[in-house]
Amino acid sequence: MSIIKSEMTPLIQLITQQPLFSSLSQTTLQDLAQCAIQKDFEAEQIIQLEGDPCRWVGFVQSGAARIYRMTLSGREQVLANLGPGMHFNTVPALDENSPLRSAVRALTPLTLLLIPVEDYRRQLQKHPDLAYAVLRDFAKRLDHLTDLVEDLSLHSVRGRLARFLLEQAESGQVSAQWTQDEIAAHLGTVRDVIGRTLRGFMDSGLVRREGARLLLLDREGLEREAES
Amino acid sequence: MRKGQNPLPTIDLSRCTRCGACAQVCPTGVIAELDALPQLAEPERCTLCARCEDTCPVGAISVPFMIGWAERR
Repeated sequence: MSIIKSEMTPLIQLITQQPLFSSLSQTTLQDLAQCAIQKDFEAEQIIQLEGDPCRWVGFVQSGAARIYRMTLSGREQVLANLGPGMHFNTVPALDENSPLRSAVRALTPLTLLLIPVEDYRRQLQKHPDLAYAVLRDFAKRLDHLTDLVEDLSLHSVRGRLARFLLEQAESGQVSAQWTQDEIAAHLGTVRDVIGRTLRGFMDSGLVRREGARLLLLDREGLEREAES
Repeated sequence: MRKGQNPLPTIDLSRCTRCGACAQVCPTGVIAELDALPQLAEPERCTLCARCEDTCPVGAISVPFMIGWAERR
């Protein structure tokens, strides 16, 4: 791990590249740049542990990281995989009395922009545009979670996975790539279940795997599954 | 979810139990055991068949994929 002392101007540019900060005023960006630090991590390096106090808000500049929890049986439950432009700890940063409820680990060599949590809280109080940007981000996440709760209560994993596959294929986002872990985290289940369900879909002739592509074969069949 | 990245298999060494099954099933010899750890020794030969992902008993291997419609024939 190494700490890179960066000039302020390049750091403003790096901060502006973060989607959460893309609409902020120059004054806000300069204040953020003054308190942010850039830090490198090696692959598999632990960035924070569940139960630690929240020390910073982190923004992925390059590389990949995983947010996870350990189950009582010692298995790792993936909550999210982070890539460039994504962030973590914006929620626990606002909860001063609770320890972190998830761990973060670098999956690849990783560069993070880190804002110490006390500075982050001060900046939120000082700059309404920053506070509004964070609120907007929370609103999107709350929307997703509300949809997920409805999904979880009304539909089986098979149904949710079928709907997810149909939505992805229809969206036209052909360049988006998913792993089974990421799909599991997105749908509120675990990877094993996604793997078994996908195999079931393959056995039923609904989908076929060809290398880096999952091809949907039977629209009507998947739509029937999506209703279950 | 990622966009536009090279979709090579990734091995989560924290889950890996060093059973060696992935290296045994890889049809092109891409996965090799180096210092008892599975690694992509020759990634350029990977055909993305995902047999390693299917075979791993602990779900330590991920092969990203894109989701789309099969072309009508």
